Amino acid sequence: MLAIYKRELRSYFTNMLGCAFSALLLAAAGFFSAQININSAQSRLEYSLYMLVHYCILIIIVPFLTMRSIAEERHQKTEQLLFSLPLPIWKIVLAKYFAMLTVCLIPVVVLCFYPIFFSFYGTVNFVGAYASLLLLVFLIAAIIAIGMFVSSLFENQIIAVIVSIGLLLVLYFLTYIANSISSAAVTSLIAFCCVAFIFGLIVFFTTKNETAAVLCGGLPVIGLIAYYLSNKNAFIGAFAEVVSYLSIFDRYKETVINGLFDITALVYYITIAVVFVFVTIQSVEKRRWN
Amino acid sequence: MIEVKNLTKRYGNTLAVDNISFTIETGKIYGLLGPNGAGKSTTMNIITGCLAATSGEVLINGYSIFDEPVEAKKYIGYLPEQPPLYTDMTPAEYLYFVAEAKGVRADEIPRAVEEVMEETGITDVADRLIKNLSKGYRQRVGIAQAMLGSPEVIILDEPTVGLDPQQIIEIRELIKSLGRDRTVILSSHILPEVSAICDDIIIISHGKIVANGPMREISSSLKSETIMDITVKATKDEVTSVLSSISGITRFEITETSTDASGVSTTSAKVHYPTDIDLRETVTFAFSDIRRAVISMTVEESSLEDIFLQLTSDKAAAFDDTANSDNGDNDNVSQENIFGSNDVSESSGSSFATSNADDELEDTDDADDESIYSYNPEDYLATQDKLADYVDADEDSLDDDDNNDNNDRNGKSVNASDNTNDDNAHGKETK
Repeated sequence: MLAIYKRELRSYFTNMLGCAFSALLLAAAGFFSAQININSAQSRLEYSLYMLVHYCILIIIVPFLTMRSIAEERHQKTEQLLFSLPLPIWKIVLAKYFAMLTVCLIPVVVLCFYPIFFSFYGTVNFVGAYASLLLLVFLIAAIIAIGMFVSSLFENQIIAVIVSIGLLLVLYFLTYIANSISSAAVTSLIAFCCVAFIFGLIVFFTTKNETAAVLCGGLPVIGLIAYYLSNKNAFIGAFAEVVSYLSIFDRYKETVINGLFDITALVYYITIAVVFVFVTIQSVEKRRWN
Repeated sequence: MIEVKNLTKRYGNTLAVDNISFTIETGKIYGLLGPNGAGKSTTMNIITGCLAATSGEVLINGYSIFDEPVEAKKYIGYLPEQPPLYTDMTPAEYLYFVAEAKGVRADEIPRAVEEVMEETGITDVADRLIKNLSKGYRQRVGIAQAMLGSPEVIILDEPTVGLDPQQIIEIRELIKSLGRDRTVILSSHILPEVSAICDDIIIISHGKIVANGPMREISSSLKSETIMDITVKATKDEVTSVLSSISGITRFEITETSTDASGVSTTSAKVHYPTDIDLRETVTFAFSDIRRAVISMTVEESSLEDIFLQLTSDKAAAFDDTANSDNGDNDNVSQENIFGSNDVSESSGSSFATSNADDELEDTDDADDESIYSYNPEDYLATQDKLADYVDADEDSLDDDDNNDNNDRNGKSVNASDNTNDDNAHGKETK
């Protein structure tokens, strides 16, 4: 496992992807920090980190790091080497995941020095700055897991990067979209049913099993309708509420802007990372069954 | 030792590997032979754990590749069809990585890498990027990778594809040297290559094993036919009757006959007979006895490729027939001959049928080929069942056909082409 981790890490720096990623992230963070410090006279790192999220910088650059993780192995046929190694697949996927995480930690380590520099020239809220940085690491960990999963679905890394960015943008604007639909109870019901239907479709296309798809898509719909009939009021504005609760990026904004370190956000990011690493393992495993 | 039991792999509706079973013993070089798309790569991918099977079992030194993959994979080194190389690394770095990933002890890695690089002859290019290496060197790096961790079995999928002749010779030498202290399984669609390297071969076609055994046995039986082209100044009937009277001829066909202005006929024929006898004199004298001149005679051995191609393409058709059999007669012929002895001249009587020369040719060939290969026990049993059915059904008509049978076996012509197959079969049964 360590061997794969080391090889991955090295490859990110031999093909410049890791360097470019660090450089871009640091350039963006540096630019935002300078802006906030000079224009707004605020020595707050957390605001510049927030800008990274708010202006979709992370959403755009992290997928470039994750795009090749598994798609490239498939493209180069090196996955056959990995499959024939006496290593379980979960170790291989985890090694790749941690290698990407390590690449991301490099610019983060540099960012750790920012508050110290700021403190020479003004008062710095160290707790706020480092807490935001910590949460950012976990946010990145979640994004990497999502990107790696998308990469495991494709053989072409360009498609992987486009789909990853698209998916993350949808997640980013999800609250916005959810808020724009009417908060009437029926609308919520329809929206939930659509989600259940899409879930059923995904199950169908991944498993090709009609019964499972109908169960996964149909049962929630029946449950939703039954619940709707018994308690209509619960559905008023419920969809927007659930969506904003599940939104990955809004939680980060809340933490930084309100200055409240949200432990549930941390747990939520870890959960997302674990879930997507798990489905990546399944997706790679599934390749052997095709 | 590798045991493959009833392995089946389905891709959607396509059956890539169809219930195959074989055993690989330690210390030999095995060749997996078959045309493209026969299921060689699929089989190898399943054995090495790169692909899951639909059903069946693969045991490597007693460990199941599906249930205990980590343990089982320790005994195997695998070079897939396309060498799995990270092109942005140097061979030395790459091999170091593979050794580490295979769990070679840290203090032994440099020595192990050094050793395989020496054995595969890549020491000179150890520090060049793999993407700058030629195909031959990449293939060597791939083989070196498979050798790391000293696995007992090395599996190479089409190791010589895309190489130039010089490289092919070098890689073959390398594989031979690997085979001295390890078991090697290699796949190929080139028969001479396999015959040059391997001790044992397994021929796969359309996902099934059509032949399995030591190289020498299979190749000698594959070469079992000589084809003689003769042209005689005689009429078609004369040639037919003379050739029919010669014992030892497997079959013959008239290829051309013409009569010139002065009324002299010239007839050409293709005569097939087993390689272990020489009929050149017999044929010449037979014609001179009736004062007919043989004006040309050429003899050629059917080439390995011809027979291999026939075996792997016609065989599929024959198998398909057997599988959805409702045309019992043809089936019985080919199945029947499985029980025939290795002596080709005995197992299928000479026959002559101009009207369906092609069909005849195909059937007889199948029969010959099948008689010399080993089969799964299941196949064998199924055949016996069929045979029993056949005997029951046709017992009554047996006597009536007897005369024809004898004629057929002696090489006399059989006019009713539809009956030819039946007659052949009956001939066997009456014996």
